[in-house]
Amino acid sequence: MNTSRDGSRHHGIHHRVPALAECLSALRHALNRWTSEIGMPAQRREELVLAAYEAMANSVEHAYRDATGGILDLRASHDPHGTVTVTVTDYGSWKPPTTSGGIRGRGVPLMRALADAIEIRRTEFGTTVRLTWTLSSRRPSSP
Amino acid sequence: MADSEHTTADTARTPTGTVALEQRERAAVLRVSGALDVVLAPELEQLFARALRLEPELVVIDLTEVEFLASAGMATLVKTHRQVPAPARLHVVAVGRNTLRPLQITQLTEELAVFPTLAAALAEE
Repeated sequence: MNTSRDGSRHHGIHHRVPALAECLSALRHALNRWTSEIGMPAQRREELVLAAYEAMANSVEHAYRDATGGILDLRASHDPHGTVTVTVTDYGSWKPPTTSGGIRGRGVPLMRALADAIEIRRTEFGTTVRLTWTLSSRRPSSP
Repeated sequence: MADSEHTTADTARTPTGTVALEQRERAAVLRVSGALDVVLAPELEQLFARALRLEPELVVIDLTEVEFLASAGMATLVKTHRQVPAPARLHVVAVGRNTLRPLQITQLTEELAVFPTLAAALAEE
């Protein structure tokens, strides 16, 4: 973990974990703590944590389907202008999920609805999902 | 399923969530607590299958105690909703930011029968 407490620079965290479902709740809690520390309002925090989780769950489920030992990188940072950025990176080869007749596939639409902006970049080397939230102003933690 | 399990709750646990199956008179209630995520969703599906073997008129999935609802959990809600054999019904209890809001965002409130309390979900059969 790599957290800077200098208010004039980027504050950030970085966690690297195996791309396994059971590793994700610890990351969820880490994001919860970090967004609370930076004073993000409660509802936006919940949106961020859920959106980040969806990106991570997608990596767990789709990135390393034919292999084991895959890695997932979670990064979160914010800048003095109030933009919060979360990136989720895997190094697998994404395989599109089989169609499920409307049962699955809500993760990406959910991320789009929860984040102010989303960018998904897929290459042969892996996938990075970048989610951003623009807070109108930095406020002290609210209940 | 042995008779001794008839009146006790069957429970599944992960480090961050639980599902408990309770049999009521004509309804089977699946109470979920904690995080309904990628790890707990399959447990909910398994206990739902067990609930169906009780041949209830109504299955209720109660998310009142859920503090985190991911799309994996929502996929399970849709799957179970479609698997309930007519004329039996499935009702979901969801309220507030943790559970109702994700269902609204994904428009699942239009596909599922969602109630604000367990009592309300049980009252309509």
